[in-house]
Amino acid sequence: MRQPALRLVEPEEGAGSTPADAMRVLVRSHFDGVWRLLRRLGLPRADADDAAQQVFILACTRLSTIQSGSERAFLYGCALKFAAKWRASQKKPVQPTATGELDGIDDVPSLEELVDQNRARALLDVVLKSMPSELRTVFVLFELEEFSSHEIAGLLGIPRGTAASRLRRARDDFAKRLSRIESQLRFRGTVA
Amino acid sequence: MTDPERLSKDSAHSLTALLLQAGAQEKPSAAVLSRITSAVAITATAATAAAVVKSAGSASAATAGAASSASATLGAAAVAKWIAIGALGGAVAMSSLHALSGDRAPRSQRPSTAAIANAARAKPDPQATKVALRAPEPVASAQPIALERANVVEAAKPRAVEPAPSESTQSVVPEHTKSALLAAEVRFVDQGRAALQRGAFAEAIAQLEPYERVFPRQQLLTEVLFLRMESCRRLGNAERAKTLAAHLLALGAVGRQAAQAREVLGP
Repeated sequence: MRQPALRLVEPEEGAGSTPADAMRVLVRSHFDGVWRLLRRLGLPRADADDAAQQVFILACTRLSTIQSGSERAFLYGCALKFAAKWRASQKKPVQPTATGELDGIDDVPSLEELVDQNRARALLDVVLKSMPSELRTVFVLFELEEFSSHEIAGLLGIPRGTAASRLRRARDDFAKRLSRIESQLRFRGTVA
Repeated sequence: MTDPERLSKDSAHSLTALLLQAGAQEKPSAAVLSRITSAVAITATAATAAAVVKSAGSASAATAGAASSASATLGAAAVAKWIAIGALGGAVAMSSLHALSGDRAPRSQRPSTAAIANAARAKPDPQATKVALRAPEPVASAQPIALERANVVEAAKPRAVEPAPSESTQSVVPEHTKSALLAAEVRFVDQGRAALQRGAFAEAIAQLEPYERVFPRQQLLTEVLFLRMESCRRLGNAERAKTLAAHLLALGAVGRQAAQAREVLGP
């Protein structure tokens, strides 16, 4: 489904091609992932569309300076920066809750309804939104975009041990928040 | 140090796995993908065409008169010709898509069709040339013209970004390439304007940031400076806005842009 880490441009397509061809390959290979990352980091669809476009336009203007083999890291790195800027531009930034209380829990669908993928994504976003951003970023990169902890460390400019530690904390944090929701949903189902 | 197994694969039937799998399967719409593919292709083509034109100019000037220069120039001309054809095709396709989509900014905020046509034909446009900080476009007689601001502000002189190249270079800059490059600039600036109009000021600045690198001809430089100034002003970055306003006025901006710039600079 997704590209293996740092396998960026298929040699048969990228080799010897024009910049426009190279960009087409990059868009085809990574646009979904970049867009999905922006979505999971909190951008609404329309903003994710725009930000993803900016990421690729930026890549287009810097194509000659991007080292071969690091295109994916460049694109995702840009996406992380755009997401950070977007968060900063929001008038009322989302504050992660220390207790795990989740805003919008009333809008969370029932367990039965979760078979619908859109609702599952809505719940996923509710949980991610409540997480501290540094944990959320690492979690999304590892669990959804299948970066290794080594790659995450490079992307975020942190030691690998720190990346691994954040990932452990992020997984614990995610599990706790989700289990709270799950219990609330069960309770709601029992009452209903 | 090995990574743990991913939760989406670890417990295929858990709620966590269900959510993660749903998240991983979300995709942008095909229309968005198509739009970005087109935008990226035309940006890459425009940048390439500009770079080739620039390098061809240097190459032909350096090798003028030498026997070997003939083949080099012909080679550059051939490359530029095909790039120009590609750029024109891309521009035409994008223009058609754009016309169909009907999502452009209000007419009053876009560069006029006349201005675009004039720039493409390298004919005089007093209104447009007042704001240009560029030397005239190379013409058939090809006499070098100095890049002096006083000369550029004068009306009735076409624009160009490069010092006038030798006659051999002119053959590799066909009129339709100029038109395609200008069309790409217009689209680029439109995106920045759209971000500004919807209140995404930081995004507008980021969007317009690579303008000078992508478009060495900088035919819409004053419009870009104006949009940056407005974005900075609304973001509360008064110092930067004033710097941009001064730059804008120095370029000879007129009308709404000049009025706004003076307002930013204050009494």
